[in-house]
Amino acid sequence: MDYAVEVQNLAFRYKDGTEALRGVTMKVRKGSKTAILGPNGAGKSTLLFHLNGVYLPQRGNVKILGVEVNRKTEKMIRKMVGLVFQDPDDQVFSPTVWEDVAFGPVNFGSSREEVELKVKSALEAVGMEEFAGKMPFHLSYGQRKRVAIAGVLAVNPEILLLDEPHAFLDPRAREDLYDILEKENREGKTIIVATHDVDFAYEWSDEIVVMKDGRILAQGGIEILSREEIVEEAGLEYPKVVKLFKAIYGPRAEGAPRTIEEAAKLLNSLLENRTSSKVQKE
Amino acid sequence: MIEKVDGRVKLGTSILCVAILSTFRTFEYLAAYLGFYILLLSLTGFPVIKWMRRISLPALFVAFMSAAAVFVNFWAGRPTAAMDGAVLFLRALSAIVLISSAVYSMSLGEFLFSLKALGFPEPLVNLVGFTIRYANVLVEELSRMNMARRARGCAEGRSFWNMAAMAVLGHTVAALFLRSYERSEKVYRAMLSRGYGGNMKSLYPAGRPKKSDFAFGALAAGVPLFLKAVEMGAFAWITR
Repeated sequence: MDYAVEVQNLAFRYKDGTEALRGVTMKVRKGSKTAILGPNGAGKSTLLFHLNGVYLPQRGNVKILGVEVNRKTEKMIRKMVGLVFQDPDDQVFSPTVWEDVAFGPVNFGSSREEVELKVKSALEAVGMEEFAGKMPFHLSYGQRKRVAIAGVLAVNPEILLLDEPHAFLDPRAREDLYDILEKENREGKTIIVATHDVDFAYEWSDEIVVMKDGRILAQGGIEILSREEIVEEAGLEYPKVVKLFKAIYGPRAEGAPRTIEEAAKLLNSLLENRTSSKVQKE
Repeated sequence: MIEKVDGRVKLGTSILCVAILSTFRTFEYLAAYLGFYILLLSLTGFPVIKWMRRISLPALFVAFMSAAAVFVNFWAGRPTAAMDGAVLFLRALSAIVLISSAVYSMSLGEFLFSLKALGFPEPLVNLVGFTIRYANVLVEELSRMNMARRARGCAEGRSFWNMAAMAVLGHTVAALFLRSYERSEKVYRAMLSRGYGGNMKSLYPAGRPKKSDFAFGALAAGVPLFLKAVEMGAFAWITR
């Protein structure tokens, strides 16, 4: 099987002595949508910094599309893996939106014509083309988030990492972000999202990685978010749909539908069946 | 129109003009050049009013320093103290006017590239680039902190000698630098993640400067050169 990311026994300690990662081992399939869940301080962001080559492994190793992350390959890795930071204000710092989106392509040596094309298509992808000449500091938070994503898309990475992409976004902006991620995934990009949002992870992901205290607690399909021992230990909560089905069916709710719409459909059909069997009995 | 002139030519010419103007000794010639330059800018459609608002603070600072020089010279017993102060003020103001108008008509990328192309050392260019970017970070942090203080009832505009006000100001400045330091670390990581490798790369040049760019440079530098020649008495020497 082709893996986009292979992490083997990765450990990392910050200068102040905090052990952020303690032997993380995980694999992410090429073209998949993976959510990394875990409480604050679980090591999600530190792990993402390793996948993008901003941090280099102190112990263990990280391979991106078969290439080991080290000092020699870090620049190549950063081109292969785009990282969208949690707070767009950390990432968007140029005087204009255009210049900020162009920052990556310029650093990776694209010519002026290429940069212009890349910036245009990245801004179109996030619906921000009319804001190209504006100062990022005058945009709303959601718009700055889009600019941050465009800045990463402009480099056209094969893997997209997003750190808490939903933080402080309003419902409309969350939906827009969902659409952007779906579109990028359809175009073949592997997407990894570090999040607290169990509902988003349950609905959107193919794979779930649960982290706690710098370790991987569980990795697998979305069904692991229905397992009590994992949800409890990670300090998470059940997704809303799972909560509803657990309330109806108890512990047998492991095959609960993914979305509210699917759940509504299922419940409607159950109600219809019950009504028709009642009528037949009468 | 001035925006279309090549950044290297604009910046190079401005630096040359500042060098020439700094040798002027006559108030009238300096004032005449400043008047000519601002008139030229307004004729080319440059947003003069907006730009003047931006340079008002450094202009005030220069006025203050020149006034201080007048007092020092006056107490030292120099009879030309007032005129020397006025010339000093106009020289410094010309430098601000020339450099700021050139920079104002360029993007950050073009400005940094122009500095590099004119032979300024790479570390200095990087420093300038970071400072400009960092200024935004500082201003933003400050406005957030001010808003948070106001939300908790902190009144502004109290006396400079009020100890409580001074303590708040001191805490704000200290916290501002700590927070900005943290933020700058994050910004640096974000830059690394998008391929930054220690050098500010830029998209310029789009090509070599054109003849029209050089013509602009020759005109802009020619006028102060002519005025300097007149000041030195060249006109009298020719007509003698």
